[in-house]
Amino acid sequence: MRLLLLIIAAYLVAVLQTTLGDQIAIAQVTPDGLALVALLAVLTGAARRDFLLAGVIGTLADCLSPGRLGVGMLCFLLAGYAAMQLRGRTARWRAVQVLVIGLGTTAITLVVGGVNLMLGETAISWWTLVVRSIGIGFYTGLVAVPCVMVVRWLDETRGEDWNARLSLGKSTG
Amino acid sequence: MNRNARLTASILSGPGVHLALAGVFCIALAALPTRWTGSAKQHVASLLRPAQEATLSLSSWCESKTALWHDTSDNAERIRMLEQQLAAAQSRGRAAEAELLTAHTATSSSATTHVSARAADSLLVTRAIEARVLGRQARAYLGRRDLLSAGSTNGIEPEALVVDEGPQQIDLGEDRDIEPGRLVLAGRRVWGKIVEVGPHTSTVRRITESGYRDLVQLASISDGRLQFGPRGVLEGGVSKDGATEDEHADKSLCRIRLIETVEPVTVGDRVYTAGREGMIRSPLLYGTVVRAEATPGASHWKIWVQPAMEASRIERVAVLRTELNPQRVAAQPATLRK
Repeated sequence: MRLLLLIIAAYLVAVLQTTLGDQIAIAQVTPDGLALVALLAVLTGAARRDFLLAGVIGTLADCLSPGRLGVGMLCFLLAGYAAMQLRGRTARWRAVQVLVIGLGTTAITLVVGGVNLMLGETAISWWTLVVRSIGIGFYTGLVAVPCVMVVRWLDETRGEDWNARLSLGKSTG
Repeated sequence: MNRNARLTASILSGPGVHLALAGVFCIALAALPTRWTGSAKQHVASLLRPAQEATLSLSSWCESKTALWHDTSDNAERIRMLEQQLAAAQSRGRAAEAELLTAHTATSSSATTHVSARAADSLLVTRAIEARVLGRQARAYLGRRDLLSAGSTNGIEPEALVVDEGPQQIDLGEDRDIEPGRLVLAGRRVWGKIVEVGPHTSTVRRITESGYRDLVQLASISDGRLQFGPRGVLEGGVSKDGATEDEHADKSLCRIRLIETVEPVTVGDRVYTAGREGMIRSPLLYGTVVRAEATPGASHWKIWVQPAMEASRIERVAVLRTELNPQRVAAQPATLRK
């Protein structure tokens, strides 16, 4: 069920990001919806292989962007793995989860952009890339606030035991 | 033995091993040639197409309803909309001016042009395939590529030119074998080129984007006529100060290279497509020269071009497809056709 919801969420976010991205852009900075979905799925999940889901969403992000296939997937995998290591410590704190999503998105944007820059597939300057990555991470973090609250509320209504998740996170971390 | 096997199995099932294996897979994927992966990317883009079209329709409906509501409550918003309409009309006016100049040149020049304008005589004809702009690729910070709602099933091929779709009028009619339904492309403005084609969608690289290249020809206006001049190579992805594409992508210009300083170039010259004689009946407009520099001792001009197509939101475009003239094919004897 959770996997199905994740697939639907990723599909809808991909559609909205490609069609209405311009309308929510601030100074050419738009939130990275797919990174948000991937990191949120890892942070609120409980399985030890959730980071692989992040990789799959990274492949979708690669398919919808210029540049080589695989670069975004690798970045999503690494960011997802790091988020999975941290989720035991962040499960209780929504603000920290938002911070992890923001920083993770910044890292993904920076690395994907940097690799494309080095491969000569984009012509933006390094300074522009750094500023834009921070902007995208910040904007994604802002969008993540209501998303984290909704996911937490959904989990609580389903009677999730956060203490159990916390202990599971510690054992995997 | 069993203990060792269990230990090995537990290590292999660990997340670290999965991460390493997935990492190797990613690197292998990144090493593949882009022409192989481009097809896979377009198939994924095709999956999004129905939802994208539904979202755009819903967005247009909401915008129309919102505009209606604002009309009655907010005059400032109405003024802004009227200003946008005025800007769009001015843009269309500039395109029409260029179109008329091209058409005028075509009608009043040599007999060769007259012959090439006869649809029945030309070997190749250009067909415009209409397409809707679905949106742009998700990582816009890497470069802007737009998704179109037409793909290989519509006959679109890589490197095809993408032009504006608006209705065009020129001073040619039945006397020049122009028939209803046959699109005349004179004066149309180039928006970009197809870079990747999927079955139902394709991706466009705009002329201002990094990596865009095409052969162009400058033309100056003299006595109300276009005088075609030197040829060069147009490149996208530069800003007005000559640096690479900066954060103000909407304001970015194109650059023309390989025009020798002995050739006459002035600000205000028009830039048209070149090298497509026989395929496109009249050259298509790229833009206008806004800056031209020739440093002492330099062998080539540094030329910056303002694209004719505005950077504003474009909903519909046309993709050009060159094909054999069906009238010529039909006129051939059956043995030759085989």
